[in-house]
Amino acid sequence: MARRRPGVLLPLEIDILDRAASSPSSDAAAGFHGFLMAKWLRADSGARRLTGHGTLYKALGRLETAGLLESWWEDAGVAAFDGRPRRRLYRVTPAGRAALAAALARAPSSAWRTAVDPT
Amino acid sequence: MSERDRGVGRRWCHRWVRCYTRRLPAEVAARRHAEVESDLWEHEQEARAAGVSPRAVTVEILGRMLTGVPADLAWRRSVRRATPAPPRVRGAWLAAPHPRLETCFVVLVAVDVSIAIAMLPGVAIGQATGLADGMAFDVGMILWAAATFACAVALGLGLLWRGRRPLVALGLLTLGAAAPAVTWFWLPPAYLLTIATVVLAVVTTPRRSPKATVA
Repeated sequence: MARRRPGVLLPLEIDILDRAASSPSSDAAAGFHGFLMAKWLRADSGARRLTGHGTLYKALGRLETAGLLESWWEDAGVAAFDGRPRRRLYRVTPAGRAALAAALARAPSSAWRTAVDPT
Repeated sequence: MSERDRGVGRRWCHRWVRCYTRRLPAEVAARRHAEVESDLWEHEQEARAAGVSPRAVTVEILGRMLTGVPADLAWRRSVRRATPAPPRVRGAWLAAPHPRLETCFVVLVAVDVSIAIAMLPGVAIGQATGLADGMAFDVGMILWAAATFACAVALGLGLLWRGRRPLVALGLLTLGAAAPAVTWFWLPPAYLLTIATVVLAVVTTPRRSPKATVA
């Protein structure tokens, strides 16, 4: 497991911010949930497996604590109507976008950037 | 694979979440539970819609759980570090119930009182049958019964005063439990009960009087 240095984003955190920030504006406003992000990350990286629960939710928690993501519980009525458990939804904050831009600028040839960046 | 087997991965995940969120703040643990539950539900639904076999889904879920174990443990450590430990209040645990000690106390008092009550008719029987040795026997029996009652009272006071005067309470509990047992040579289980009561009283008594000071 990569050891964290203060102020430095881990590759997984950059992937999460990048993927969330690059989703269409309507999706970005609605937020994403943990499993959706796991699917996005798998699709982007071409991996066969989804990110582990612990790895994913720890990263989401860290980003939220750092103020780079914000989260909220979706409306209980919506979940009940769909007959499923409530989702915890996340959205990138302006600080998260700035941190992502700074991280991508610092690491121009990173593997995650080439994997995620559609251009 | 049956529907029951389909939930194996989910069950193991829940067990693991319960395990690593133990003794964490309730709201933190509840949030992690809810997030993982939602994730598992989405995972299963999507796999079902895609026609993935239940066995493969279970393997996937267990794989995700296992690969996340180091992160789960690191997360738990960080939450525990970030959560201030509740203030330790000296003597506060005295207010907590000690069910084993109380059970011993109740049984001992019951034995004391029954023996004392049983002794009083013995005086009358001794007199009636002439087996007893007159006044000395009567006085002896009555004193013994009174002493046994006194021991029951000492046990009761000891339990009542544990919060206010722990050392006096310890003395009363020890006296109340041990004194009658000296004469219970014919009742071996009473020795065990007495020893258990005294040991529990000693173990659950603080060295100083309780003061609600934050350590």
